[in-house]
Parts: sequence; C-alpha cells; structure tokens
Amino acid sequence: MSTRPRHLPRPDARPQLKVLPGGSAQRSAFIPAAIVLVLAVFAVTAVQAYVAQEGLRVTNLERQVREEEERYQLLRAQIAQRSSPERIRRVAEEAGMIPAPQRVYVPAPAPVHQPATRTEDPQAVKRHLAGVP
Amino acid sequence: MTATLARRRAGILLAVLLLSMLVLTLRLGYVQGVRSEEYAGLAEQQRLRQIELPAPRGSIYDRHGRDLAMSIPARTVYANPRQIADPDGTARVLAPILAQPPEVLVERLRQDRGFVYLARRVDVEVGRQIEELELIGVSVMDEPRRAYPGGSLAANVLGFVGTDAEGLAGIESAYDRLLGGRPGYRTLEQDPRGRQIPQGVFQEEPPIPGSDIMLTIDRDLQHAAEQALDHAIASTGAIGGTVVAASPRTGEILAMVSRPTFDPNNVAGIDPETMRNRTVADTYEPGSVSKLVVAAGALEEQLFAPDTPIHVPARIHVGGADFTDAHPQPTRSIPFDQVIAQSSNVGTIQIALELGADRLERYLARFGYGRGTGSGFPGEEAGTVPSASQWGTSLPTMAIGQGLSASPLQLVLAYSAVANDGVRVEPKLVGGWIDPDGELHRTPSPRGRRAVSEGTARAMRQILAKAVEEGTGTLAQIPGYTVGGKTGTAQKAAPGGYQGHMASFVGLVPVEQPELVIGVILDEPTPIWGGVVAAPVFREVAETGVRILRIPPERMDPIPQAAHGDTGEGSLAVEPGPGVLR
Repeated sequence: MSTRPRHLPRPDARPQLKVLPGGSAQRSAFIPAAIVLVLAVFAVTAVQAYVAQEGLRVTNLERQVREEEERYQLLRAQIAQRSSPERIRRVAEEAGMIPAPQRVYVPAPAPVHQPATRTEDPQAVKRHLAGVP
Repeated sequence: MTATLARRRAGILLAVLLLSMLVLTLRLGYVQGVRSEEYAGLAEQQRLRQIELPAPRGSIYDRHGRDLAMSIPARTVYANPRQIADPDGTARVLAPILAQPPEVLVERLRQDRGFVYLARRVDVEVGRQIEELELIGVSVMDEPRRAYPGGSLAANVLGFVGTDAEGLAGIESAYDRLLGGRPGYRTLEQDPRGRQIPQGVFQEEPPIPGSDIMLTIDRDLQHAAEQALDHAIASTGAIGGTVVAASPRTGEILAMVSRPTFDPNNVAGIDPETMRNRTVADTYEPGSVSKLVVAAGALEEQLFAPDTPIHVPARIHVGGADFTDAHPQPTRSIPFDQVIAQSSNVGTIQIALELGADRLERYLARFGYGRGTGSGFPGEEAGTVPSASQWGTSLPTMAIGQGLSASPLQLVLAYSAVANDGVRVEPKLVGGWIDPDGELHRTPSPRGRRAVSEGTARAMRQILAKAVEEGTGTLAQIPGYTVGGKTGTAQKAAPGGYQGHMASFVGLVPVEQPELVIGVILDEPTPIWGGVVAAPVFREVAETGVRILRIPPERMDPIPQAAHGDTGEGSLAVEPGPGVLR
C-alpha cells in the first residue's frame, strides 16, 4: 500500500535512455595513454636507477685506481729504500763480506784464435740433441 | 534554528580552515618562491664542501734516475670538535691507532673549533683503520709524505721539507716552485657523516703535479765519499769535514758531502748546524792548497819555469815576520816544481814576492776566489779576499793561503781549471728537470772562463803529479793511475786569532787528461797534516770514482804471482782471498 500523499502527481516512468555516440572512443584512448604514462614513469625510474648504479661503479673503479696508484708509489719507495747503498753495505757486512783488500788492474788474456771446422755430423755440434736435426 | 547554528558553525570552521590553508599557502609561496634561492643556498652550503687536493711533489733523482727524494701516499686525520659529543670516548678509540696519548687527543677534541688536526701524514693503513670506525666528526684525507729512501745520503744537498710540504733547505728549497706543482680543488656534496652524496654536486679542478729534478750527483760515488769521510772523521776525531767531487770539463758535481749531517726523514729537534751544506756555506783559510794560484800565476807570467832553481833559505823575514817551512829545512836550492811539491812556505813566498801583490790578486780572482761559484745553492758564501791595496805586509800570508778564505767548492773549481787545460767552468748541480708530461729539460752547459793558458795548466798538472809521487801527497796515490794534487794544513781562524787546524787535499786523476777532481777537508783532525789524514780520503773516493766513471787505468800491473794456477799459460786464476766465495 503506497504511503505517497494523493495530491502529489505520480512520477513519470523512467525515460528511455540511449547511448550517445563517441563515448567508447574516449574510454579506449584513455587506457593506452595511462598505460604509456605508467610505463614511462617506470622507464625513467629504471634509467635513473641504472645511472645511479653505474655512478657507484665508476666511483668504486676510481677508488680502485687510486688505491693501485698508491700501492705502486709505496712499492717504488720500498725498492728505493732497499736498493740504497747504505742498506746494501749493511746487509753485505752482516753476510760476512768485506771490501776487496787489494785492487790491481791486469790485462785480459789474449783471445785464442782457432779456425772453425766444418762438420756434417749434427751430434758433433749439438751433442745434447742426440739425433735431432 | 539548530540547522542554522550548525551551518554557521560549519561555516566558521570552514573559514578557519580556509584561512589556515591560505596562510600556509602564502608561507609556502614565500619560502619556495621569494626566498627559495636563499634557502637553497643555505642548504647547499651545509652539504657542499670544498677540499684542496694537494699536488704530488716532484721527485729528486741522481744522475742515473735513482730516487733520492720522493713523495709517498699518506693520510691526515682531522676532526670537527663541534660534531663530537664524546671527546673522551673518541680519544680512547683513536689513541692506540694513532699511537698518541689519549689525553693529547682529548685536549684537541675539546677545542671550540671546526677543524683540528689529529695526526698528519700517517700510513695509509692507519687512515683506513680510522675510516672503518666511521666516527662522527672524524675524517681522513690524502696528504702525501716526503721520503728520503737513502736516509742521510746527500741530506745536506737535498735539504728537507716542512709540515706543509714546502722546501725549507737545500735543493728542496731552491727548487720549491718547480717541485711543488699547484694544488687542485674538489667541490662535492656530503651527508652529515661526511660521505659523498651520489649524483650530487661534484666539481673538480685536478692538481698540477710538481716536476721531477735530476741532479748531477752520482748516488754510488756520493755514498763512497760519505763512507770515506766518516771513517776519517772517526779515526782522527775531527769535528766535521767535506768532500766535493766534480767533473772538470763539464762542471758537474758528482759528490757533495758535508759533515756533520742529519736524517731528513726525521728533522724534529735536529741541530740546525747539522743541516748546513758546508761545501758552499762554510769558508776557511785554505793554507797550502792555495799555493796552486801562486805557482800558476808565476808560470803564466813566465817568471819561472818548472825546472828553474830557487834558492830557499831556512827562514825568510818579510814584513816584520819570520816564515819557515812547516817542517824546518836547511838552506837549499830546489827547482820551482819541488817548491810546490814539497809545499815549501819559504820558497812559495819568494815566488809570490816575485809575482807581486797586484798580479797575485788578479790570479786569485781568475781562479774564482772571493766570488760566488754560480752553483745556485742557497746559502752559498763567496769567501773573502782583501784588496791588494790593503795587504800591506800580508803578501807572504796570502801566498801560503792564510788571510783569505774560500769554500771547499771554490777550491775544487780552482783545481778543475788546471785539470780543464786552464778553463774554469761554473759548477752544475742540477742536470735537468722532468715536467709533468714526462719531458726532460736539460739545464744549459755552464759557462767557462780561462784562468791560465793550456800550457801553464799542463805544467801545473805535472807539478801536482810530483807532489803526489814524491812530495807531501804520496798517500793519495792509487794503483794504475797518475794522481796530481796538493796537501794543505791551515790554521783555523777563530775569534781573536787562530785555534785548531784544517787538513785538506785537492787532487785530480788521471793527470794527462783529468776526468775527476776531488777536494777533501777535515776540521780539527788529529794528526793535523793534510797529507796524512785528507790524502787517504781522496784515494778512497778516487778509487771508487774511476770505476764508476769507467776511467781506464793508465798502466796495468803484472798479474800477481799468487794468481798463477795450473790452468795453463795465459789464463787468469785468482787465489781466493778473504771474503771471496769459492
């Protein structure tokens, strides 16, 4: 039983609605655009993350280069210190070596001239090869 | 009524909210818009830091490119006390690593400053340990340390650097601008812990490294000369000495030794007297080694020939003073060359009287007395030669090398003139420098000035050879070579007169075409005679020098009998001596 007052008119029946042309096209354009936008945001973020990662790698490599250069300098200093004449003299003394007590200059023996002999036997020339040509 | 009140209250609340938002919006606009740059600048100042990048200091090499001085990596630990909440705890952690007492560190960490050094130029490993602790307010930076791998080798030539790596003496000082380079700068963003912010502001102006310097010094000859002088000082009780070895033709200084000396690796508390390069900074009355000038002048003026006989009395009275030889001799007649070879004071004075004061003064100048050598070494003294017009009756003392002064280097250069056929060449200590691009720039050849003719120089060399062969310098002889030289035993000037003696020997080898001139001076040795204490030092240095410089011997010795083995005639077999391994 209706509670509606009698003096109020009855509402009209729901009007017939019809779909207006063009609405589906707007919806279909919005979604790809949104997808592209989201992908673009992810792409930019990924690129920035990659750049940051590579930047850290470059920083690490530069640090390694500096460390290796320092190591080279330290090793060079060690070489210089170990090859110093005073250290060598001290080590030689500790090993029981002494300066030569007498120094003379003598002529070198005259070279012995011996004409080369021809041979067909390889073993006469290279005994250790024993048969290998 | 109720609805109206509710709507009114809602309206008031909405108005308050809108007003608040308006105020915030206006404030935001003011901060982000009107004063955005100012606040951004303040924020950047907090993050940005500019660090000076020290320029690597150039190395110093000997003539063969061997390191004499170099910079090695090191770390400096510093702190910002205002960022440190617990100075005591921080000091306790740092103390064992830095090898410093905690109380010293606490005192620094309690200062109301933004920057304090805790340790400078410590090992790289120490810096790494500090960095790993990640202490707030404590940081580590690169700061290279100067190292001298040879210890005290050539220390008085090299000099040393100060706390800020600036040259303070020697070559380090004289060539500080060339060695020092130019520092760079790095600007970067850091977080509150001092760590660099990735992708933050980063600007860098790289430092320009210093150039390397190549000396003319031969490291091995330098060491041999130092050893020889140290032995002589130890055995004679001398208080110091010098050795200078030079190439007479090029003026290159091959060895330059000064004693006492120091270790430039550790200069804290060192006596400044030990840092002086006495070969150029000290002058002394040379004594008999100066007779070279008298003899050369007399020969050049053709007043005498080497074989001219000279009547030499036992004593001579000149200018109110009596002069005798160092070892009194009877009256005799000896050739001119023997006057020098035997270092006769009386004979030399007679020659000088014949030469005259004016000409002697001129020849002293020609041989470099009383003027700088042109070495460019800091603190060089020119010595003193009074004007001849002021000599009065002092000609005899001038003739025998007293009453005037010269440095050891000046004496070596005077003898180098005789060795170089009469041409005195300026000394050269720096052979060249290597710029940061690796290009070698050689220093120009030094200038030469003729002191005496070639003939006079040749004659003087023969006279000097006699001095070594049969005169006062026999202990300077070395096997296989002819040596020429002159001994000297001079009174040492002191306030109020003379006290002590300087013993010297200056020689050249080989006599015919000298390639090496060496001057040795001992300060207050016992015994005092140059021929006894200085000549053996010359021999020791010269024996090493001829080997290093590959100067061929002038004569060969017969093979010692003990060396003949049973390996056949003409072969060489040496009997092992002590220290020779079989």
